[in-house]
Amino acid sequence: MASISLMPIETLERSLKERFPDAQVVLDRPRKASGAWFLDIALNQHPVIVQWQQGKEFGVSSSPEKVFGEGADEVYKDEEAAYGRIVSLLLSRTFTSPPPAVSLKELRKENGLSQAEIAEILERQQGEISKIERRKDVLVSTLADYVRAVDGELQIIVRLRDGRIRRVQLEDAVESNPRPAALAR
Amino acid sequence: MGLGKAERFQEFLKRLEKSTPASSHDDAFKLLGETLNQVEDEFTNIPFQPEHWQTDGRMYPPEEDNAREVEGRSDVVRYRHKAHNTFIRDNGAIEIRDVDGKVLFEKCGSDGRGVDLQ
Repeated sequence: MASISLMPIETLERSLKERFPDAQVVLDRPRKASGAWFLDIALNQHPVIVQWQQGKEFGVSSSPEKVFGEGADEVYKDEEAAYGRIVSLLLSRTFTSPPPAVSLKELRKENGLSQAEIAEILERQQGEISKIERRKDVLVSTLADYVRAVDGELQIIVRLRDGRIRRVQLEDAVESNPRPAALAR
Repeated sequence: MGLGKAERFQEFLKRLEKSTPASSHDDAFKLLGETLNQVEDEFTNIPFQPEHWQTDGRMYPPEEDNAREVEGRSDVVRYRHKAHNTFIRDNGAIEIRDVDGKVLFEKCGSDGRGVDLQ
């Protein structure tokens, strides 16, 4: 009897159906096998979407938002890593973290702030802000202060090969001066 | 420059709505791609890099690799995105739905007929 060779995403589908017999697991096949495959999973109405294509990684996404034309939030090199992450998401009912790659300058502009305004918040010279935005290496504390100045919070996320996600808390992390209320928007 | 994704998506739909109806699948496919890329080029600094598998903050139009057949409708192609499906009929009609089936956009082809899914 000829053996049937399954696509890695078909193997993933079988594994998830076995692990979560009560989940809805639906494979959305492309017109051509070389195209992009999607695996839609829902457990207790918590959704996870997996994308896969030959020659590419497994994309994993779980989000309450539906943004048109986006790629996967997270990518995993192999089926084992993707499976671990999917299980984690379904059991914890948490969401994936899309990493839109923006520079500090883009982050500042997206939030409608000038270098001068950031400088005032951080009590630094505008020239220093310009240097920070152009550096390849910055101190974590400097980055944290800059992110707070654009009304954000810096989180250091570690994604391990087996799919686990951890947020790293640095030793002796000290809360820097909060964003001045006068500049709150 | 600097609109959020939701605003850019609405701008994309607005421009699609105003555009001349397409008369074929290929014309509609091209219209979708050109319109969305124009909006993204105009309102973001994110370069067009469709080979990236992971999201980069930019919205990408349907691609051939995402095509699916529609059961019982040989005249319609479904293009799957992570959270949406874009349907294109051979008369140039376009329909965009989210993965839950909610219709977000409809445009007839040049013959005045829509995708007309059930």
